[in-house]
Amino acid sequence: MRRSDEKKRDLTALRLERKKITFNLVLFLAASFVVLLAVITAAWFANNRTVTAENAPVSVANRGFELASSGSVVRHSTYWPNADANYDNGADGSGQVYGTNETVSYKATGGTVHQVKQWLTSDNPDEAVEPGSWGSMTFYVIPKTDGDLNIRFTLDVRGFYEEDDNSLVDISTISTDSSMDPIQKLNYQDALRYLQGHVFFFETLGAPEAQTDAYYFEDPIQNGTFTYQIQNAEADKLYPVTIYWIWPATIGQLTLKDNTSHLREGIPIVKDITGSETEPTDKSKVIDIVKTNKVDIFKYGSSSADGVNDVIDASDNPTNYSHLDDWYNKADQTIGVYIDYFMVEVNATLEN
Amino acid sequence: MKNKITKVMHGKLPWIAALLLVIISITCYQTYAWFSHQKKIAELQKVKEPNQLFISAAYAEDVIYFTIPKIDVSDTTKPTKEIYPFAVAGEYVNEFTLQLAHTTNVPFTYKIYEANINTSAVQNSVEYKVGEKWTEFATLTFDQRTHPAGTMLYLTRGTEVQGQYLNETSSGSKLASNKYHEETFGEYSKTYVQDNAEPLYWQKSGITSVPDSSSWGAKPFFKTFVLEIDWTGLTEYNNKETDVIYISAYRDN
Repeated sequence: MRRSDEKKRDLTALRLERKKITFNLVLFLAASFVVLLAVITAAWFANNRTVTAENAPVSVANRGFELASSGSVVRHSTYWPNADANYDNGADGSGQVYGTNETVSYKATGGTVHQVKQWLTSDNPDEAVEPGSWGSMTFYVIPKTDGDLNIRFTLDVRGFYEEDDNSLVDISTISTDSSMDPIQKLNYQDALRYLQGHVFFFETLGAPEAQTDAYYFEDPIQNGTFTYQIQNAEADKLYPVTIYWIWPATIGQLTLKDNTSHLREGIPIVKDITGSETEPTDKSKVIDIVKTNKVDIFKYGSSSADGVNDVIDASDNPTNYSHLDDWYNKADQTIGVYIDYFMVEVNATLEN
Repeated sequence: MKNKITKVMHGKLPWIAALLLVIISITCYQTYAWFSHQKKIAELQKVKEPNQLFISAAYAEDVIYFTIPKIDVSDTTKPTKEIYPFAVAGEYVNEFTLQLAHTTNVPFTYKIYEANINTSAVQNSVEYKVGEKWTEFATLTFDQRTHPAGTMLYLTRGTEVQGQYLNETSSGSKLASNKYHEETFGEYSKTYVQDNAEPLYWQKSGITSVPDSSSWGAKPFFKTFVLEIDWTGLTEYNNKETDVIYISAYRDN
């Protein structure tokens, strides 16, 4: 009697155990399957392959691209090795510029090389930039296969100071330096923030040499990023991309909608507006950038950034203007004192 | 045997194994994806050092103490010229440019001389009481500031700074031409600017900062000058006239 009860209990317990095991096993398999599916899907998105099909009305995204530039000289080449040793000169190549008969030789990314320096046709080794300086970077995108190509460009500005032995120290690395005086550390880090706040990027040249209504650029690059699309890109052709940068000399060139107040010195960074244009205008985009980054554009001293948006909106008021001008110039002075070199880095990734 | 399987299937082991496998897979795929599709191209720029020169009072004090009090041309008992001291001060530069810009309502003759600093009264000197070093120079030490605040110094004219006017209508006219109207007034038309409000610009470049640069050691410096305003030969004016003068310095190298 006892044995049968025990056996019954054992049997029930065993069945329960088996159920538990089965349940656990199923759960485990289900979870693995879900995760595996997620992983495969992610990999598929990141690793698109071209599918060619006859008479296909839709072309699938391109598999990749290289970046290249042509020229015989790299600016400040002696400083590159200690600025960032990960940057390669690039592998030699030559190819046709898309839409032309022109063949150029270039240096490009490829294989294990993912970071290359910008080459130029000529350079002035003593050249140094200051408030008011501006320039451009022209490089090539070389698609690896045919098809539509969507690239996301992200722009970064890195700051360096020079040691007595001419080596460069990347300011983004000094936060962990325990031997540096904390005030000095803050000076360098503030200077880098101001530099990043004071360098503006644009996609298109404006009319800087115009006799009337001159302005520097069009199409401000907001949040440091923009997309670049080529439809039906041809493999191995060179597609030129130019980005423009400027370190404006005065805040008025950025925030004043026009010069009716006569407060502005120099020509505006983007076209002046009357207020009747359809928004957003280049000017409103630039003013938005200034408001968004106001902590990194103005050196306030004892004032705070609170309420500064209103000051920026009314920068044609002489009192407001004198504050913004003073804060902007003080930030410029800090940049000049603490930053010795800076790097403009263009990151490119495939976008779908 | 059944017990062993039970134990293993019940334990945390299968979950840990699954989790590890998944993490490894994800990392591999993500890393591979990143490597194969991010490229960079970059260039370097050098930043120019900002101008670190200031116009200060004669002994590197706050420029607020540089004053030109009212000039009374009618008092014929007094000499017809006066000297006013100031200094160019700051971080070391090899050479610098000094610029004087002034309006021409009163036809004064302006000259700039290097100043000789004397500790006892000398003829034709201007008395100067040393003040506290300018707070702007808090981080700079001037080896030249050998006299403490409160010392009375006597400044005389030294070597003349041989500059020249850049935009006189004709030599000695003491009137500015339109040459730098746009630089001064921008879009503001010449028709709204009275002839005497157009400033005259005077410059001298290549002024050495210290007598012996090779032994100076690139330390902060200040160089004292005196501005001489001369009204010899001017007759009395019944109207008050005001002129504006600007003194500026810029490093050459």
